[in-house]
Amino acid sequence: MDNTEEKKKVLIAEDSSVIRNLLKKVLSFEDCEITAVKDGQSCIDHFNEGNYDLILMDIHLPGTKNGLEATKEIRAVKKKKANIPIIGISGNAKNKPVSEFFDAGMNDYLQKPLDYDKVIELVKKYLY
Amino acid sequence: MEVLQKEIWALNPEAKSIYRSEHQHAYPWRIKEFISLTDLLQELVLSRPQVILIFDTEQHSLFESYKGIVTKFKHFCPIIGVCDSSHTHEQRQQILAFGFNDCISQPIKENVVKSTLNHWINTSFDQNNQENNGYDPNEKVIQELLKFMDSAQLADLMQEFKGTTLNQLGKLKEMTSHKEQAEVLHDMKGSAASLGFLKIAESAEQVERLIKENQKDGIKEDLIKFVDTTHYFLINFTL
Repeated sequence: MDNTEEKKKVLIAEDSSVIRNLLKKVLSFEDCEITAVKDGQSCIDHFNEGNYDLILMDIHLPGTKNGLEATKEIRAVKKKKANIPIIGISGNAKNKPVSEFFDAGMNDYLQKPLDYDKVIELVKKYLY
Repeated sequence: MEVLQKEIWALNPEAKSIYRSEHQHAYPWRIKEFISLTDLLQELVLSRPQVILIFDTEQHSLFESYKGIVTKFKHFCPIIGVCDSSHTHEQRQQILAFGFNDCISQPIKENVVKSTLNHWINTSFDQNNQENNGYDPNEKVIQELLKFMDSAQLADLMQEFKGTTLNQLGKLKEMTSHKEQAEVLHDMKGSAASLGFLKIAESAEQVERLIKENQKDGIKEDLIKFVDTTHYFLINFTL
């Protein structure tokens, strides 16, 4: 990778500290700059304040906004950056219609337990 | 392979000559004494002995208070009652029926205590191995994770999972809201599966499903069994 090239910025919204740290480790292989938050509202706040290239968003987030609601709010921002790729992370994808992830505005989704090769594959797809 | 220190806990060890023989230095175990059941239960949250000896088991006033500990832990750790020599065959049967794994009479003969403890220490190892079946992290997942991190980093994550999950298990039983319980179990399921603890993830999912389907029968028992089994595994888990 060209060192003069600016690092890609990834925002992770995941309430489980174990999975947050796990994703940080896995994505560090892609030489990304990673910010991790644990609820939907913090994700929206960071998105509004920063310039990110990708969001990994857990569906099942605590607090006032879950992952789907946070995604809808980000998509509703009237700025170009509202088109940021958002990958949902779900622990229940097997039992739920995945259309609701896309309806909320997500570009793609990952299922828990995480397949780490798939994580890298999707992150590369949307970052480069 | 690391040799585990065999530790025996003794509650109410008033009869000091019983196991503290002059030859104790030759015994392959270490004795830890407790003067109150509360102290012993607090310690059980953090670690497990190979065997628990409870003295004065026959005293009826104390008998009921041991019910919780015996019911909860006898499958994970042998609990042996130490009774007065005057106890009858019927009393001994009552103690065993109550749930104690074994019963020794006072004054204890050195060969009796030694062979009894050796028997149960070995039995407890067998039980531990049996209980751990399927609980260790899945090797395939571990190998996948090691593509992205070194073993020290993985050990840190495992340690974080252990601490977080033990904390969640402690809260689970106290929670009265099924919604909160289901959320904790859901979170536990995701992090356990992602680190390869597939058995924990599967069990958490089963209990979460019972709660969400509002199945009244068996929820409490299944939850307690899940909490106790997972707690026991994690306390003893080392990478």
